[in-house]
Amino acid sequence: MKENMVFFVINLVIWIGIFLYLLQLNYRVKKLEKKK
Amino acid sequence: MLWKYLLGLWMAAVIAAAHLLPIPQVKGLGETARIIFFHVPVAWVALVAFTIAAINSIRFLHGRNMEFDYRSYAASQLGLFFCLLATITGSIWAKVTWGSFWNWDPRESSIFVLLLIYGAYFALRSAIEDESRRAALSAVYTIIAFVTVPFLVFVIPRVYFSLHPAPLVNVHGRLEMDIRMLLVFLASLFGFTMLLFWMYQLQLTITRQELKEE
Repeated sequence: MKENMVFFVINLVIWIGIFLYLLQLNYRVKKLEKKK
Repeated sequence: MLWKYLLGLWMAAVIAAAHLLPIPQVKGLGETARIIFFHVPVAWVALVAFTIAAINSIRFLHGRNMEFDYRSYAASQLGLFFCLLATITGSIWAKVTWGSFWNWDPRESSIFVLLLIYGAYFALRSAIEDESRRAALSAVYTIIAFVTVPFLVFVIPRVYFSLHPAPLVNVHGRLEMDIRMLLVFLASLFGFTMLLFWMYQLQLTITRQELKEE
């Protein structure tokens, strides 16, 4: 159980990291488009 | 746009398979061996990003076209991000299997040095105001930094005794993995590579625009 939990946490860390990174990229792209 | 939705579905299927697929139990690793489905692809895309950065640095030095500097910078940012993710996920895994988050294992030490090298790259860039000088020095630095990558990622962890599980392709040059695990792993590798190219497109648009406006 603990081992499965570890994999879940690792998965969560990766996807939250990627999601937040993508979110800030999209936000910055939209901001640049508005500027134009 | 459609391919992004398909990528989302692909990765959802990979996540489901990575959690649900019964895997052969390896002594000392148990269920934590599933980390291979995400930790290794994340480290792989970091390597791809650093390679893209190095290739574009060489192209910049060849023709002094600023576009290649933008590409190199964008790829380095993503490389550092994925390298950081690989380090964090590795240390969570180390806490469970080795007993502490950080053990200065050769694998951990080498990725730490890699993070420092690429961290210094951003310090170098921010320290130089002149655009063409910054691009030239950064390109030279990126190429030198990339030379260390094969040593830090492939050589050092194999030369010194490491607790880290054996690399995918073992010392006999064979890839010994359960076929179903291998399929999920390759699907994950493909998904992460596509994700990198999507993020690279976005990062490049931003970097190009911001550096042009400076």
